[in-house]
Amino acid sequence: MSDHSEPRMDKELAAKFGLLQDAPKRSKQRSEAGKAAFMLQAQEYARQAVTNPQPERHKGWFTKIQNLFSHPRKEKSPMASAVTTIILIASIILGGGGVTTVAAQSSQPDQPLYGVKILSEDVRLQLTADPQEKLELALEFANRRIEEMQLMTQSGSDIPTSVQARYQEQLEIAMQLAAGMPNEQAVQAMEQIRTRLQTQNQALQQVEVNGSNTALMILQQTRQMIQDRLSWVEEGLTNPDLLQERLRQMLQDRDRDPSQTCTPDGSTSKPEDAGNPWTTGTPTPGSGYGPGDGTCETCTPGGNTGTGGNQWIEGTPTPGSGYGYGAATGTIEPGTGGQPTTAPGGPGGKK
Amino acid sequence: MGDQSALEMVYDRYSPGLFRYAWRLLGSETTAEDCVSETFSRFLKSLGNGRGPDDHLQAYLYRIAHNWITDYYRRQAPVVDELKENLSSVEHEQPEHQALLHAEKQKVRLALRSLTPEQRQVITLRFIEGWNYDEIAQAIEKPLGAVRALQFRALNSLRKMLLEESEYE
Repeated sequence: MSDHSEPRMDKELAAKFGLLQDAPKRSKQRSEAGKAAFMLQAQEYARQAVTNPQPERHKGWFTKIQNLFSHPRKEKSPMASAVTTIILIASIILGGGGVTTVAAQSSQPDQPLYGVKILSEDVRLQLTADPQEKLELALEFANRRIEEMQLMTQSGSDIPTSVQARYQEQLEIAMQLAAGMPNEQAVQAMEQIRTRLQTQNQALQQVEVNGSNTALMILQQTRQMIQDRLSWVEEGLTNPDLLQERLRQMLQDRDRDPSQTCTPDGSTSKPEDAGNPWTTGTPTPGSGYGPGDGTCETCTPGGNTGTGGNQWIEGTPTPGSGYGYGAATGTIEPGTGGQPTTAPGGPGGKK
Repeated sequence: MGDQSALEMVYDRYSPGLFRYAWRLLGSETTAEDCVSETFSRFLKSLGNGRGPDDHLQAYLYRIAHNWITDYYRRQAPVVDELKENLSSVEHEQPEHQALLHAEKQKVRLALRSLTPEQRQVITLRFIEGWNYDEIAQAIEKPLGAVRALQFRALNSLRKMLLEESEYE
């Protein structure tokens, strides 16, 4: 086939593929049944995982999902598992996740639905676009971690380091958002953070430790961190650039130290003896801090190439013809199964 | 937006697209539902076993679905299915047109089925699902160059099967 007839033929091929575009409307009944089966199976895995926890490997929010199945518990409670299953099924029958997550909101870190609580927080943060709303959410969630620390300490339980790490993570989200706001708004946001930090510091100060040395250590570390961040915020109020620089530096340090990977429930994979995770000063040689060796497995390669353009042509495009790979500026909604939002020959679709 | 459990969110977000993807290749709502159900089941199993995706959940789910469809093709001989009996009123008005359309769709499916699994995945994701090359590369776990090469070969095969053949009909 000559090059001359290529566009005509490809148009015909496109029309053939187009025949498969109109998928039938999915049966609501079958879709809901499928979802119910999926959630039930998830609960079954969660129940099995109680007695056979798997080593963590995943990163990001996938680990958060996985933690739903591998949350360690001291003892198996068939009744709790049955109740959880009933709640989940009820939530599906009632048409949403409301029941489950309402039940999950009061969960403590050593309870089975805690993973749902944590994950729902992440989802809400991810789906909130307005910086001020997002900041308030992050502060609210950070406050939940403090309440969890209080409750667990009072009940004599150990505080998982994941709770502490998550508190730090949510606080940093709030601080980064504040630092990125326009001047007047940034000052207000930082004042808001300062008030929260002061209240939280006070709350932790008043907690009565009930026998757990680990809990005491975590509380002390958290208070130290709160004071540390309070001083950052104070500095930020007079010099926002300084706060931005500190946050940037902190993120950079963390990127250089791939061993300090936050897991979905916020725990870090850093070894216990790797130094104080809250320090911000010069790293001690051999402490595990400082620049890495550049072999970060999780780093995203930079420089995405544009991969849109005319999807029917694979050959060398003729300049100015409108064919070939365009600039990557379009969007594709995940899971929509739709076409790229940009027309063939124009800029390429890129998520 | 209120709280939602993550797993429900994952199911709600990805199952409709997976259903469409499976239907486009399989042509049967029942089999497409089976594919969706098995995809999510395998996803849970992977997570429960400590495997599963490190990133790109969507690509991961479509990869599972693709593997299921490939296995299905191996198990089942191609079936020329019949027109559904409960045609809508519009369809009743043009039964001949509907029959031709149905046959044409089946032909495209059979052509896709005759490709190698990777070629089929690239073509379906690119031209029917509308993914870009980066997303496809993630889904098939191959570099961009390999994706383009697969697409090139697959399109050549499809042209022969769907266009050149019809010129002689």
